[in-house]
Amino acid sequence: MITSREEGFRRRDDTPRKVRNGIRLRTKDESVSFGWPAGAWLDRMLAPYGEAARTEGLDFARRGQTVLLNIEPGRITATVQDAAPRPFEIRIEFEPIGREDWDRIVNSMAREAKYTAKLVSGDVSAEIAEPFAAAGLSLLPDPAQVTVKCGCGEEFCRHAVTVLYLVAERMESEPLMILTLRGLYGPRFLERLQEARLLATSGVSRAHPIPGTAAAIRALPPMEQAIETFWNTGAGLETFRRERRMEYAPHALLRRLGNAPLEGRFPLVGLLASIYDSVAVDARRRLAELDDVAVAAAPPPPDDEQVESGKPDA
Amino acid sequence: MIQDEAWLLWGEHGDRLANVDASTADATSTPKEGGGVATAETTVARHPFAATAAEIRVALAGTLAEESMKPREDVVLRLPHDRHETGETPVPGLALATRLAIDAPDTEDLHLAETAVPCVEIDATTAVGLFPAIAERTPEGFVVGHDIRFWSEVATFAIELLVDQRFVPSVIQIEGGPLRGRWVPWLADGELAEPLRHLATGMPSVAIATTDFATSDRWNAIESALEAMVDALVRKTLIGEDYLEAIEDRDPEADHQVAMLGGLLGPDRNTGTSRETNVDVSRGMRLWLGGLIDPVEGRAVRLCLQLTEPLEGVLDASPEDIEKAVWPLGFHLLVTDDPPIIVDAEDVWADGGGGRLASVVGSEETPGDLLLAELGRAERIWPNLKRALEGTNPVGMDLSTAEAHAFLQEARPILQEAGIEVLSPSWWGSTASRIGVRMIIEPHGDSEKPPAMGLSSLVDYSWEISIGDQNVGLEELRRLAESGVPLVRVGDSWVEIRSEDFERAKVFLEKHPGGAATLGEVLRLASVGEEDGEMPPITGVRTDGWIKELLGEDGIPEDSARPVKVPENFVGKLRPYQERGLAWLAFLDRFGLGGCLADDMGLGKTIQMIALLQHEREMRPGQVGPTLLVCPMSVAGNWRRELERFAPELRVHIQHGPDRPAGDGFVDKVAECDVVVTTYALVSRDRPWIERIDWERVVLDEAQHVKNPPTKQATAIRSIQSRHRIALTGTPVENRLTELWSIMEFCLPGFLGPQGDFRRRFAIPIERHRDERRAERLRHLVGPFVLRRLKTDDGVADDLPPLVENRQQVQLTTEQAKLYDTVVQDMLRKVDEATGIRRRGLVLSGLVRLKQICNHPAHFLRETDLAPKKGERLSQRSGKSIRLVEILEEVIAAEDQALIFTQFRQMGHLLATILRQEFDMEPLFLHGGTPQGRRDQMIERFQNGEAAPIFILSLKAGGVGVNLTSANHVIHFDRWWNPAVENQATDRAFRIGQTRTVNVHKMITSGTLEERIDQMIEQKTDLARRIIGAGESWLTELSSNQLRDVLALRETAVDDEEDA
Repeated sequence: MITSREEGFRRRDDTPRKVRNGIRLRTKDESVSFGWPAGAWLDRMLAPYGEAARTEGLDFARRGQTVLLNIEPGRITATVQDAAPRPFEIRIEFEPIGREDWDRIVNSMAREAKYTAKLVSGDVSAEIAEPFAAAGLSLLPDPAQVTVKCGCGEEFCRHAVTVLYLVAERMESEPLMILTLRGLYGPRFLERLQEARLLATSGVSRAHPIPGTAAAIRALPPMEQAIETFWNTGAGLETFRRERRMEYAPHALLRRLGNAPLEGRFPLVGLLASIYDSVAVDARRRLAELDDVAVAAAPPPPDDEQVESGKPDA
Repeated sequence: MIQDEAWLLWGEHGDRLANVDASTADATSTPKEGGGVATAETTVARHPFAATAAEIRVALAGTLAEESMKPREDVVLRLPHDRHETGETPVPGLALATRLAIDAPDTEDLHLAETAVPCVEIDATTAVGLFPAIAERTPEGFVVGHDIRFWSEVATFAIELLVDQRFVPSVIQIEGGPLRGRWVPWLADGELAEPLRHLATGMPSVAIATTDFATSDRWNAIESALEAMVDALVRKTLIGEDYLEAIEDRDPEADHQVAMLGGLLGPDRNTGTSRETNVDVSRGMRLWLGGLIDPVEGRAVRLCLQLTEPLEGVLDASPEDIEKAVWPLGFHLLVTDDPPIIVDAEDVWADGGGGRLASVVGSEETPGDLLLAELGRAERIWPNLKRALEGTNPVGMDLSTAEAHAFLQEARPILQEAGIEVLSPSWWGSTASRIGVRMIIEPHGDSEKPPAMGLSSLVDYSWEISIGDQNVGLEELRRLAESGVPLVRVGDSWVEIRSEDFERAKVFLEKHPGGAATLGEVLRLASVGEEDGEMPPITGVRTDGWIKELLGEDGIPEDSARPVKVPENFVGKLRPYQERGLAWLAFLDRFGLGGCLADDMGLGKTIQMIALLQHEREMRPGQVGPTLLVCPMSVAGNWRRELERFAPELRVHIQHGPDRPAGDGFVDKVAECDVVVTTYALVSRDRPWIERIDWERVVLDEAQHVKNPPTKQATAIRSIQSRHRIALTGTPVENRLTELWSIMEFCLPGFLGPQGDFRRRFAIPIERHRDERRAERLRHLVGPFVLRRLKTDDGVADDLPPLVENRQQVQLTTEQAKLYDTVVQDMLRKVDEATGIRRRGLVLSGLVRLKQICNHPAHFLRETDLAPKKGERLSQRSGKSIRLVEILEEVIAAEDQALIFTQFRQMGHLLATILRQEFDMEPLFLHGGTPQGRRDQMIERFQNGEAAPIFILSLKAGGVGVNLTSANHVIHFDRWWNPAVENQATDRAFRIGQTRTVNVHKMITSGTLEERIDQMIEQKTDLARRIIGAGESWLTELSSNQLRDVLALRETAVDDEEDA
């Protein structure tokens, strides 16, 4: 297989042009090898390439012939300088995993804490391929699902090998990239996994934080121990009733929040400001209504006539 | 988790519970549990006396619309059940049990079990309106459950959070469901931690009775209830104002802010967006809201911004100069040590951004990093900081006057809220830095001497514009206001000035030229101002002449200015704070002003009052009229004792008993008296002749009794003419505004205005909304006329002995007296005829019966039906329990804790029932039958303040080995006549670990064997020596005549108030 691509191995008289500040392989080791998943991924990707392309491509990668390298979900784009005056543009595209498949994978991983625990700590081991396999998919790309197009016009060229080595080296330090290349940005995958974890454990995930005081309240002795006071309100309610109410500046929370880090240009802060005002006005009216109930519920003064004409005696 | 944000109302039906006439239902509620609770399975028994959903609907029909109440059948609750031979049944709730006076079963017989009840379901919006309404005014035929009172507080709190704008938009993702928008209360700020904890400890278990045991979680219940209410209310407002229009025609997939809003502005909670968008919105929102969390909370170091006023060149400067003045804003790190250390940014940078400070900062960050990160956070709130952050090592920046004002006015509170310390010039925020008006009060005409007419004395008053102490003319104010600079110099202080200040002051002066008015009116105007008027703040009072003496130069009376000599006749010593109290009373008296002495229980209000009586007689011998002292029957005996002991020269008449003088006889009697002691009930009966006397003074003891008195009593009391009026009470009147009003209405009639007015103006804002400013105004207004010292106050605590013993001398009620007499006669007759063991047995059993009668008739009669009949309170049948309730009222009001010791287990149960009826609480009760585990738990909960503040203990079970130092009152309800045993019981509270004065109350019934034996012990008689240590057996050896002497009922023992 390796030697059957003899025609792809062509000697040229002219050496490739030098690239200033080109992207080069960092490792100076004689033989290049990577751990999981970068090593396994590279092996898979290089499988169809001939020996010559591999050797020359690695050489190109070491010499820094690559001008640009861009890794996006499901796609790698790069430019590699050869002897020709203009560098060749290379596009490597991977067949992405579908949305529903991702959901299934994320959900199945969420059910086992080990995945989240490992992934969050940056540990991407061969285990994470299991849920993919279980979903009938492969985390490592099947060469049949990869299309490589290079400006040199040849199939399985050395330029592609150059790019694959560089990507593998990056993947070595950012293992989640393997997911990015299957169509879902690695960190995003992690978020989805954490979200799914929350859902799986508590059934709900929410954007607002749990106040620190919640823990203190949960640490109070459980109520079922106090069966004799099952029906009673505790003393805390009286204290609560008398506790001084803070005074807050209007829109204080909004000003602390600032702009939302959400995509889009909708004037959110302005809208929220008027929402805060509307709600506060309405709530104040509601509170006044409750006061009216309280005033009406008050027992009438014991002897009205006495109160009204209450004159100082002298 | 509440998923369908709803509350479930359920009830108990009194008729069904027992053969009781009253149709009462106990409505209580629990938030609905979504998902977790299954509807009734066949295994769950139906609640035997629950109200049906239809009955609840009918009961609430007047309050709620028919369609807002959804009937639900068979909701499973976990309720306390009582175990008995035939199985187990739910016990009635406390509200119903109290109403029907059903004795609570022993707690050790109780356990939680499931039962199914019919419910009515209401949504959050309905709940917000319903709970406060029915907690305030209960529908006819209903008893409201305690949890409804709890939810009512939660509902009010939810509305207050909205008023205060303490809510944020959020999103929630439910597993397998869509992304939902949700308005949530913002509860994560530090200052809400305490209130939330108190709310949580106030939550009754029944409020989450639907909750699964394992997930019983107060926090979840409170948070989801608040969230449900906040979300419902905000949405309601937004829908009403058509906020959805704002995002019409916008693509939520393209603009994720629109996506979020899609689930927030209208009735639909779902954002309806794609999975990808949802994830992005969730993440973004989490990041956004997470920014509100103070990242340095709990950290020892935080950012501190310090604004300093310009140092030079501004004195008497022109407006232009002031505008250009430079206000340095310095950056510091504040190390929250004690005392706090402030490190200048210069030092942080000089330190290389780390170094010696690093250990204090205590994290991986260097102090420099922390400073920058925190400045970055501050900049988000106050963008002007950006200017300073452009340099490498920012240490501060300069602000213009306008910027400085904006910083103080707008940014400061928000920065502080976000956990950034702001140090502002000391004048900022004080009244001295604001334009205000000040009242000048002067004697009317040329009256040099105080007219001694109290509040109705005429005074002249006028207003002036003031800044701090400075008087500013209208022209000057115009010039300042028109300069357009927000901060100006007046004299040598900085003053905030707003454009509307001049106009407001001008209008005010035009409308309020001043003039002559009564002192009462003027004081009210000076501290209260006009309701909601566009009135400049009142910054103070300036006084002259005798008013200066009364109120102090600036309206704050000077305590030290009026010492009074302790009367020579006073037998004993006044403690320093009691001398101050006497001086205060004498001082008010001189001006003819009434007042309320509201010292904490045990501080000696009685003797301060007695000293006043002596003082005035020393000052004006032969010219002082008699004082009428009105008190509850339960303390009349104490008054007599104290008067005899401390002021033996005072001629005292106790107006009491069927043979008391009336008409001319009364008038003649009073003529040769200094003090007449009578009771509230007798005042209205003896009114015709009481009114004929020209009283020097009327004193109301336990004045909280005038709170809601029968009209006849109140009218009678207020109609008594006297030169001076004093009220005594031990309850914290300043916190109980209904009481305060009633008491002030007696002391200073008309001073606080009509009750309705007072309620709207003060009681509601203070009690319901914790309006601190209103409370402050009220304190200012009544301050000169109410003196309240606490046992813990400086200058009081040091004067107090660690242990104070109060003998509570009480009277028998008529019912008790009849029983007592019958039993004594019967016993003496039988004893006469018996000898030996039989005689001994008769004496001992008779003794027990007499003690039971003194305790309570129901104790003696072994009554089981304790439901109050025709409005008669169980507590009112015994002199001891009458007094007990009075004492406990003060204990509870002061948030103290008390132990009650009794020898009789049955009396303990009776006491528990009385306390339930009177105070609506379930006291702890420890007796011989309490298992060890339960006992330890009760003690722990009492010590931690998690249970009711009252602990009933049987002397045998609780008299030894128990540590209950959180109590500072010990009540011996019945006597053992063995000081050693009693002291041992007292030592439960009075021992190492006790930090407060322990008040010991010993209940003694006047005229009975209790008093007689107590006297013997007090006088250390021969007999007493035999008593001590011998229990009661010595009594059996007495001759019949001796027995008769000890046991027989003496006159004045009977409380004759009942038929009043």
